[in-house]
Amino acid sequence: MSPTAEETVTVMLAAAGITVPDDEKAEFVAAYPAFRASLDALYAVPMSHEEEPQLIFSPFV
Amino acid sequence: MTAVTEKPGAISAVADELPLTITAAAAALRDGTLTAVALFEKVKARADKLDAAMGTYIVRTDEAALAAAIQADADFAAGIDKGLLQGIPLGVKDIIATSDAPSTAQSLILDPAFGEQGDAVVVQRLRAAGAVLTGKLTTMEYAIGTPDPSKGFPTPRNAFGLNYWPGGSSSGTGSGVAAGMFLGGLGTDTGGSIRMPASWSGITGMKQTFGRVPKSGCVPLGLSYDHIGPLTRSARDAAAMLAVLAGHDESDACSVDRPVNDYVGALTGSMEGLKVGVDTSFLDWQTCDPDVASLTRAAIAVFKDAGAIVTEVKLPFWDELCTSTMAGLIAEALSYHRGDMIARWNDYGYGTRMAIGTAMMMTAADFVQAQRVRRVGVRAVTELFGQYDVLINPTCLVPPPPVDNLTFGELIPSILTPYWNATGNPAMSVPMGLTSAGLPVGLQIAGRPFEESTVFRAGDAFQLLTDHHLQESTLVKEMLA
Repeated sequence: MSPTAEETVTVMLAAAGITVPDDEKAEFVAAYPAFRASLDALYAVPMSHEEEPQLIFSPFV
Repeated sequence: MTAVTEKPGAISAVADELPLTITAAAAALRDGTLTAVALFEKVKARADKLDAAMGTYIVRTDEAALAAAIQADADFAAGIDKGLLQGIPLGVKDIIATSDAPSTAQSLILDPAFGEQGDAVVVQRLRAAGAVLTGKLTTMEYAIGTPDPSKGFPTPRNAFGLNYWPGGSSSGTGSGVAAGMFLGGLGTDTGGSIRMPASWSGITGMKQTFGRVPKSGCVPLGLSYDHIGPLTRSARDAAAMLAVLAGHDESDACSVDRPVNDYVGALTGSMEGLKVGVDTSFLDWQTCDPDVASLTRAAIAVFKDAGAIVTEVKLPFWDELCTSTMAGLIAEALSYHRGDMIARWNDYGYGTRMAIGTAMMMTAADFVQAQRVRRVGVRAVTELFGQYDVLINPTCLVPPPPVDNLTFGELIPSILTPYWNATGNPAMSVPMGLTSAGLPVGLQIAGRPFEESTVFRAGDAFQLLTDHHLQESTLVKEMLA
């Protein structure tokens, strides 16, 4: 069974080490499904499996 | 010096007869009808009357500005002309370091040591050009979120109605130019923070190509999306400012080493033959204000009537590139703020902590995927620009919202600016008129990378055919009477 938005947000806040008031956590929980859907849509963009990210590492400062 | 070809009438209807544009002021400074000191005194008098109500400044540097104005006049008298910005009063958003004032980022969090580094590169360049810097301007905290009056900083208000927001995050720069407290200023743009306040303040704002202007000395928000750029009344003025601001500096890892064009000299005043792509699908969105739709159609008609070749287009990967910007920038911001957010969450303003805090709900893979999508987007947009010189659409789908109870998340879908931060293209907002409620809205013009000259050409030609950029606020006129 998939975790609920509240369970996910609880875990991710804990992982970040940031404590927020309950009312603000509730806002994150409410916003999470739409935010997650927008991020999931990024994986549906047609691209080469080997597409590079726009940020490229350079060995020079 | 480049010849002044601006249309006449850029003088305020207010009794102080303030030149409304940098171009008009520069001409007056050179024909002997105005001194830099007198110009500074005009804008200072406006700030004395307006700032308490409008929340434009965090700190004014009157003494240093007067000294700079005196120096500018001395230089003119000695035959020294450093260019169009000599003697021109300009403001600086308070996330950019200056040697004569502290930097706060409008936050209780920022270490005061940041402001002790001296002038940012862009500020050095403005001073070297003889500009008169008048002070540090309000912003959204760390250039993101919405105003939070509980933190003790001024709440920026719109020059066309004090109950309305001037847009953000370069709020003070927008409202101050609109009200004539200075003739131009520096803003920053990570997802639209130059173009949005330009649109809602009835002025012009340019986010040039990423890397064109060094951003060192600026408090970062999203390091791969941040730009420092000009807000002014006219496109011609923005071109004059960008000509000074642009150019490589090794202190910014993202700075690009390319020659700087003569942006003012490249203005032709003509749109004849300009290939313009317009995506009018936004005007059918449920969120689009009817006045914004009609003003956009009127602006498109100006382009067509002036000889531009206007064609309907569809901007590729719109939703995905906007997500790439908004998710990517908050992820980059959280990496900067995490330590302070662990220790001092409640010292951040509500809008700022909720916006940046949303990045806690992302994974590392999500961030990298956003950057992969940017590359796909850059490729698609580059292909589109093979057929068009510029692409236009409204800057925002709604007029300025009421300043109280703003919600960052609710605003975002109405702002059409983040797309161009994902791709890095230059994009400028120019005024396209007032709504039936008397509130300003803007038209966004985007171009190919490093082809700011074409964007300026389109904006300048549009402004030679319209008066929207010279529109003065009735409220400001009443407050100055």
